[in-house]
Amino acid sequence: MDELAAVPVSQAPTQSRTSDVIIEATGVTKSFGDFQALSGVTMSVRQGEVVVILGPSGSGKSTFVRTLNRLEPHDGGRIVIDGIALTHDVKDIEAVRREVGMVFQQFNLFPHLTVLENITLAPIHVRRWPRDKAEQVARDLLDQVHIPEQADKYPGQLSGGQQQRVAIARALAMQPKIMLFDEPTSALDPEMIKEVLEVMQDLAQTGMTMIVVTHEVGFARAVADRVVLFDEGTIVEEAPPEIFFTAPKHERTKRFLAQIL
Amino acid sequence: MSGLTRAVEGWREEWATMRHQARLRGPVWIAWQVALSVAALGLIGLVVYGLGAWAFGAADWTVVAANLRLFSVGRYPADEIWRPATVLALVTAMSGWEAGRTGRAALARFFGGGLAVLLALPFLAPLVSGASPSMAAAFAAFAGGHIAQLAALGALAAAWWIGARASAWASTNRPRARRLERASLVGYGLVVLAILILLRGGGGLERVSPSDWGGLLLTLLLAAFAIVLSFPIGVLLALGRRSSLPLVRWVSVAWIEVIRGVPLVTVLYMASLLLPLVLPEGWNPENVAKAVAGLTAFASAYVAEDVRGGLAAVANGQYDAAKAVGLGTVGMYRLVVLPQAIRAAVPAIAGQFISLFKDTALVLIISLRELLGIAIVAANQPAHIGRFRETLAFIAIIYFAFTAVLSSASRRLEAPAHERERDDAPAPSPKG
Repeated sequence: MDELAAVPVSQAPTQSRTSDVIIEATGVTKSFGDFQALSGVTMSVRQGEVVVILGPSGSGKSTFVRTLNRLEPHDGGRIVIDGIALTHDVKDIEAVRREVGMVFQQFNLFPHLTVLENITLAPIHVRRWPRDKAEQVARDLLDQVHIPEQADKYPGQLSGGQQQRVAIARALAMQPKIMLFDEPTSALDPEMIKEVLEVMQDLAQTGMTMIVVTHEVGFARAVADRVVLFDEGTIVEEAPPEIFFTAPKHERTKRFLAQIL
Repeated sequence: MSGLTRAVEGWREEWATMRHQARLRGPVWIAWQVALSVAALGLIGLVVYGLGAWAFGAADWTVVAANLRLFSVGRYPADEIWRPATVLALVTAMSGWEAGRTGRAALARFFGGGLAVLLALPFLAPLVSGASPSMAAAFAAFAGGHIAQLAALGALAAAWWIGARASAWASTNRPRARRLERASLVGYGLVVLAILILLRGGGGLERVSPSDWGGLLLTLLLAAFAIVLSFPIGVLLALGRRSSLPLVRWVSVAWIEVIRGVPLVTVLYMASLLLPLVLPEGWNPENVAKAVAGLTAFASAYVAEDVRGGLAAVANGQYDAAKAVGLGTVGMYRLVVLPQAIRAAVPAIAGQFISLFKDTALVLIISLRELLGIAIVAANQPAHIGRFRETLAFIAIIYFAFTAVLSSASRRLEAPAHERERDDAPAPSPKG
């Protein structure tokens, strides 16, 4: 569970983070048929902040993160990303998605493309970069996630940890302002979790705004500026990790922590 | 060679399995097996003996030998035969070019070999016809009488080889290969245009009415055009079927279901009789064009269903990932979803196209004389009256040869797809 205990922790300098709000969600609701997945979620995230979302399965944490780049349209409330309100407007949605990278539990790499092609696809076809530039950026990113030698392989030839690092590189290639992580290590074998968390921690230290849905408490302790507990579609508790894990206010949080710690 | 060793290996395995079974199941089972085997062998022997006795005895292959031109190009004027021949050379060089460009060496060799065998087929008919006097004399006559054709075959092989080499060289560096891909697409368009102009005439060439096209030439033209046209239409129909616009969805569903609920013969009649009513006054397309329209309409509905199956095989996460990196709907389908869906649908689509190739025989009913039509015409000539068995056997061999090439090629197309198409779920063991 505590994968990061062995990792040298050097907390990013918080003073460099500005207080500009980049994600503003107000009273967000979402239901699937009769099931109310989100019942009024309000959260704001400042630029450079790392927010870790915890919660039992079915608590709506993944759904919430997926509404932030409108992979799930929300039913009610208001979401503003970097000054753009998410509505049905396709132009706005695509503009938001260009600025928001996402990493999935199942990696969702494109199996018919090589690692390099996975990473350069969006920069070439969405950002309209020349291929040379896109490939240069992609190779730099592969260096950054420590797998430069895998550029010409197909996703099916990589281990889970490697695939997830490629997925992170793919999301970063669009040079997003925000990164969403939807249980990035839940589908990984235990020995591969650390390599992915390390990459995420490095990313946090560059000042990237991150929202991370995870069960990795060690990561939350070491990297998060704020930890949020979801339950039954709402936020139960929201606090800096020092307080969240040692002195939680709510009974629900205590019960949750008792189960996972 | 490796094919032979593999076959021998296979027989050995079967033999071992059988012995194992015999030990397990005892003498009654063995007796049964022996009885069944003897019966089957006897039946096969009867058929082979009957066919052989007929082919080398009673059969008179002069009907085929005398009508080779009809079988290959129909009533295309004798003086203009160089035009279909040039078309053949163009297509051959093009397939060589494509093989070299895509670097599919196995596929390339296969197409090259297959093509050569197919082209040699018409020339083998006189050999069979000469079987009655003596094999040796027939060979001599074949070699002597067909030096020109053999030279032409050689030229075709050379065209193919040069195409393959040139494009393989040209695609050795990546930016050049990408430019080449675009140029090739334009080039193929131009070649198709050139083929049509060559065959139809005009622009200084004597005009040859499409109603004079026939035989293998017509069969191949119909199949090729119907295949090339029905593929994109089928893909669009499959996408239309899942469109969020009701009108698009209804039209696609109606098209697919109506066509699939109706025999091809009906579709061809419709194309022949109804198309002129729908089209503007005074614009009555050639029968060949109507046949292509009918075949295309028919095949597109089936391709659409195959692609729908392929689309169902694409994981939902792929859509999420494509959207999340900022691709719009068009980019998502073009770059992420369709390449995977089509690859998954290749076996089904290939089967569809093989059926389509054989189905071209049905254009007989709108009075086009492709292979089957010619087989009937030839057997009705006064000199060869009633020689249906010979002509039908001959075209059966040609159909079989082509479908065999098509199905082997499709099997080879599937292979690299399977190799790459792995689930992007976590690999069982870490490799890094």
